[in-house]
Amino acid sequence: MQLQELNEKWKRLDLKLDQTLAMGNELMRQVVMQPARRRINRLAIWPALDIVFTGSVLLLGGTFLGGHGQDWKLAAPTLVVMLSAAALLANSIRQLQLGAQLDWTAPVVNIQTALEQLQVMKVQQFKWIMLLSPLVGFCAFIVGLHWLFEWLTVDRVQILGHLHPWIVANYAFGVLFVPLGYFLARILANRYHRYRWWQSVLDGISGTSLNAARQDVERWASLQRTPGNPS
Amino acid sequence: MAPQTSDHERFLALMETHQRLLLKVCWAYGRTSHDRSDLFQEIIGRLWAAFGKYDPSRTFSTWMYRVALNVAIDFRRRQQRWGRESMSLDDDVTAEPETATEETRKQDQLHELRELLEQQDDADRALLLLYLEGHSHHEIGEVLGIGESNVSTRLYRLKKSLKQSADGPSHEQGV
Repeated sequence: MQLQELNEKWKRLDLKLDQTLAMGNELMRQVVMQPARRRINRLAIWPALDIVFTGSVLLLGGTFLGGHGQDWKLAAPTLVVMLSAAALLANSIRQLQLGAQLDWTAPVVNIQTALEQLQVMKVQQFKWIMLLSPLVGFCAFIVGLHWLFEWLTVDRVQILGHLHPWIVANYAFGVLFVPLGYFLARILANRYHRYRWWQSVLDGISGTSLNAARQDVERWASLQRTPGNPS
Repeated sequence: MAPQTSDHERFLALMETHQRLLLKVCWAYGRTSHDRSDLFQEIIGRLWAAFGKYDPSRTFSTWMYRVALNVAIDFRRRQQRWGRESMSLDDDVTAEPETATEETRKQDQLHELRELLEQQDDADRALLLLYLEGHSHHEIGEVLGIGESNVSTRLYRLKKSLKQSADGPSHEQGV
């Protein structure tokens, strides 16, 4: 098909849009005449929730660490939780910042590059949340349990003393899950095409989604570079 | 800066003048009538939110195209990520009473045009859309944020690839 032929077809589309215009007018009026309705910025919802959550975790963790800093059995898991929360907080703030800086009236290439960069950050965040979740989750569980025992004034030493091998095994599993989870996700990533959700989780952990997002950033950024002139 | 209430009528008047362009963007990036309607609303919402930033000394259509294409490409990307790509094409933009043969012929041509747009990536689709709308290389470059010579080169490549895809099957069939 030649461009001239395409032009003719495009003009035919023009003629065919007339009926749709009535619907368009009504929709526009509906959207514009509701100025009081707050528009929720889709890009800001999750980072904002993450900031609230991680901020609370840091605050509670800091308070807990202040009271148990001398006991390394409690200080170590608290620090793991707090460090993870701090990393998530930093990533979420950066995402929120990038989202807030987006000017949809800017040239297409600039905005699409920024949106893809945002996607890279989200995929990276998802990957590390998944890989670190057994370790950080268990640390949070230990800290939470101690806090609960204190609140209930139960003798935590007596109860948790019997669980010592179980605690060590869970720490070991959490640490080993980082390379093991990544390795398994890479092996299984190509076997679950029929289950889209599961496939996307595996792609996220194994780095497939991250590579795709990075390629998209590069593809948009490359549009600003002048290619070789036509001969 | 958020648009003032008094801007309503000015915005609506501008949109009514230019909405044909918006509908074409929706047609090019939305696969079904439902998608197109969602996309249309999203673009209008985004345009209205950004209207306070519009500089009247600049061309409205260029400004509108930037927002519309940015939203449309993002909309499409989200759909691809949520696995809605397998939905069938749907060319129900028309329903005016015509003879069945004439209607079918036009629908086929539009379907062919749609198929061709579907084969392009998001950037080339935007480039093609602006070109078909008759914009100059300078205007296309301004909307997309690339240089004029870059636009020329990419259009040249696009024309070449279109010609090749048109010639391809005939050569294979030995026509």
